[in-house]
Amino acid sequence: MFIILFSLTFLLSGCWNNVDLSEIAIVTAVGFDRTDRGDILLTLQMVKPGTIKAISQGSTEDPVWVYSSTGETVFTAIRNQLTTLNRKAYFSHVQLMIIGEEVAREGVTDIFDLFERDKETERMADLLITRGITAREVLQAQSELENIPALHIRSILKNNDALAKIKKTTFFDAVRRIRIRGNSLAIGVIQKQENKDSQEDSGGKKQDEGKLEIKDLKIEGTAVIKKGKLKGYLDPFETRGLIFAIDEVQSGIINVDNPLEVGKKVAFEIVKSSGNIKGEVRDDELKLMIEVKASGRMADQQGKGDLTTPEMVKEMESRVKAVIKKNIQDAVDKAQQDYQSDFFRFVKIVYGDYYEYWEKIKDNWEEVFSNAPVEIKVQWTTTSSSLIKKSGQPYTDAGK
Amino acid sequence: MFKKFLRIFEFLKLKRQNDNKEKNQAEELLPESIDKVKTLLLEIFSECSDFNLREVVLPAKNHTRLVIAYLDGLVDKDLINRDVIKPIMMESTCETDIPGDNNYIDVINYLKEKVLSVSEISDVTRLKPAVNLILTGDTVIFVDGKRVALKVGTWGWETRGVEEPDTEVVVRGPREGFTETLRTNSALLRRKIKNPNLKFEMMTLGKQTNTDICICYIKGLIHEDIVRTLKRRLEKIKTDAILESGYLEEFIEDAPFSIFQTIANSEKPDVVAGKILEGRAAVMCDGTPFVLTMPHLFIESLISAEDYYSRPYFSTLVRWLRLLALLITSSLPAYYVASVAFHQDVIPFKLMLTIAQSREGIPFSVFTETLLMGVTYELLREAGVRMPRPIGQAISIVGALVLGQAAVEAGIASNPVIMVTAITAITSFILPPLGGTIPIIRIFLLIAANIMGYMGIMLAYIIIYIHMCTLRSFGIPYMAPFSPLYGMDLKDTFIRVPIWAMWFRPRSLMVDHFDYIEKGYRMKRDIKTKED
Repeated sequence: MFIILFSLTFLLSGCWNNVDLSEIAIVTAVGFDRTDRGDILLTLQMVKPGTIKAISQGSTEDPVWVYSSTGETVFTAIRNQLTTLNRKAYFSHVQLMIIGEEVAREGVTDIFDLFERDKETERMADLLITRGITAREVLQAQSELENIPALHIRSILKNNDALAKIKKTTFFDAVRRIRIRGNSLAIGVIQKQENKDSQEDSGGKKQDEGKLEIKDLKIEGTAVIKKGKLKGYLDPFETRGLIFAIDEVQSGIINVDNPLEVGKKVAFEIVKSSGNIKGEVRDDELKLMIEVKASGRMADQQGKGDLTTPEMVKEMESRVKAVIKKNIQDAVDKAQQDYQSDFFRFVKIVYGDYYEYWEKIKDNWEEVFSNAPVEIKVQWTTTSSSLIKKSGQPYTDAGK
Repeated sequence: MFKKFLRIFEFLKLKRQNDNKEKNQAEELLPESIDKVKTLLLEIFSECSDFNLREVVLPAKNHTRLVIAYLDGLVDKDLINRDVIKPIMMESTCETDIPGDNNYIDVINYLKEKVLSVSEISDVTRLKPAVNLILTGDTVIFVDGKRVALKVGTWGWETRGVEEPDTEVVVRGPREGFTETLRTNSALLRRKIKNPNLKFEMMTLGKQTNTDICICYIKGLIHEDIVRTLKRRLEKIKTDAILESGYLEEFIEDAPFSIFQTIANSEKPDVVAGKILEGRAAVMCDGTPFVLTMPHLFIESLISAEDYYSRPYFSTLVRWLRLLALLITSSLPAYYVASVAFHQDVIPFKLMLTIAQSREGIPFSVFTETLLMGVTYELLREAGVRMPRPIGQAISIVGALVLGQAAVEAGIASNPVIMVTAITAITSFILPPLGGTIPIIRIFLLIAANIMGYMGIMLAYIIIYIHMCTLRSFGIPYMAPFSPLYGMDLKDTFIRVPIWAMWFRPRSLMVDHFDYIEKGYRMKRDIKTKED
């Protein structure tokens, strides 16, 4: 115990500048946009500690302070905040970094640099790219459930473990992978809910036009960044294909048609999944493979029929397999044809296992990748049908 | 300047003369004539209202005059009346002179063997010891015409009974505790260890108080050098008074300036007996229930006697808890200050928000705040110990205000600091042996943390550990059995193995560490002899 504490003290005894907690402004989220003049528009979401205390006593004040400043560089923009801030912005607890679509299209590396260089940044902050809205708008979105909106968004990202609809990327992952040659980044996307039902708001409590709420936002899908620049987006299903392949699926739901009743669906929950990407070079021909082994249980059945008979289980398994395979295929198609960017990170295999080949093709890796055949192997096992076997249906003479 | 030196020199000369004089007095034999004895005694005990001098005659021996001297209040008067004075006086009526009986020609032997029905009798030939014996509660019978007096063990003053000590309370284990009377204490020990090898060596210290000191150890079990060193150190003590064993402790400590104590004390016979059985020595001091044991190693602070009475699993768990408590009570405030003022990035985000919001509006820096609350607690604790019982309630009410919600509402302290102070306070009670050390370490770490954050804490730890490793207690390294490592001794440190699996006595107390002391000692002597 002495030893553990001792070594911890060694490791953690970093900087020795004394700044009291009450003299810093805790930044929870950072957003980047471009102004019309081409400057960087930096938006910080900062906690007002006093207000959080007041809220617990019934105040309705906004617990966070969102303020934007501009500057030619990120650093100037941060320093320009000091013209209005009474405290020093403190970046060690940044939960969320949001990059505006426009900035992303121009390139993310210029933004990353300062945060990578600075000792005070939380490198495990979640990274998101906006689609259709600015980062500033995202940061201004309010939350009804959490005091701090950034934490709400972060929790949504955590929920994604049960959804498999977004590729989670931390700031650290991004800065690490952006340097790898031939690698493309896949980063989660935040966008406005398009088909938002306006009737959802009850009665006279009309929302302000300018003010978004987090429930108006949708966090799903993936942005593809090739060579530091935003190339395009994947939809949630393609995203699922991607994260199946790169083994980041924790859980998720796959809907397939009920073979016994037309128009009805059966939902399967993914319980376990392991994805593997492989590559093989034979006679200077690159062959890529994606292997997914997944298993799960039947979670929800619409329509009648006993799907637990051996034949039906086989049938359902093949249907699930087909869905997964299609997801992956879609993602691969996007990668190869639409964006020509290797966000699956096949480059890792080629670089690691076939270095000689990589030396030959490294200058036009994207092209080689795009033309390589991709074999997709999917295995699915249904482990159980949960607590019941047959779906409970009202008794009829016909159905038995 | 020169004059001053001269004066000091003269003072030293005078002191030596005085010492010689005292030595002569100690050598002084008893005068033969009883009248001379009487005048001497009355001179020595002049203005001592508790001094009693009783003169009787022994009818059988030509009406030999006897003087019985004792101090009122220190003796059992019943005993003197019944078994000393009465036999002497009654002897004349029931037994006439037996001239032919040569055995009883000597009055002293006659008294000893025929008259006094008291178990504890011995001869005294010198004046100084005789006076001392009177002072310790014995009765001395001076006989006319003899240079020998008789000491009769008659002490019997009011004593406190054997009670359960307040300082070391146990759930399971003996409830008895030492008392203020040395003899009772040695009896309590003897009752635990019924073995003639358990030695009680007496010594009288303190020029004015003449306090009885008793060195206890088991011969053959303790390393001889420990006893020798202990005796040498005790003999060197020159002081006026020994009122409590704490006086002795300061005189014979290895590191008098260290914040760590290298001599342990206990109020419980079973604890002391256990330590003696491990090969340690104990020093009992008349007038206090606190018995010193030495050598004292650091690990003993984490061990309680009860560990050996309960199941080994639980004992092991409790020892780890104590270690945890040691870490918390010494370093928690320091870690709090360092985390909040230096390393905000280490605190989990939500915890940080909580701390930030409660620190909002506090006018002090976190260090000042922590120190303020820490000092407030120490004041309260001290007040709690010293105050007369009836005021207790007032103190506890005010204390709850000062160290509680009121302080938070007044905007003087934040909630986390109150929590930190409270946890620190609770854990500090878990380790009573280190009670005098931990507050100092805590403040030291706190200041270090405020200057340099975790780095400062680390440096402070290193300084403290180095200091602990340099300490020795009667030659035994303080950090034994860890540094130096005695593998076999680890059985009774952070893990308490079952009693049946403790095959060996502590090696760390048996090994000859004394090479180094003795070598140093010898070297000094060699130099001296060369000079001669």
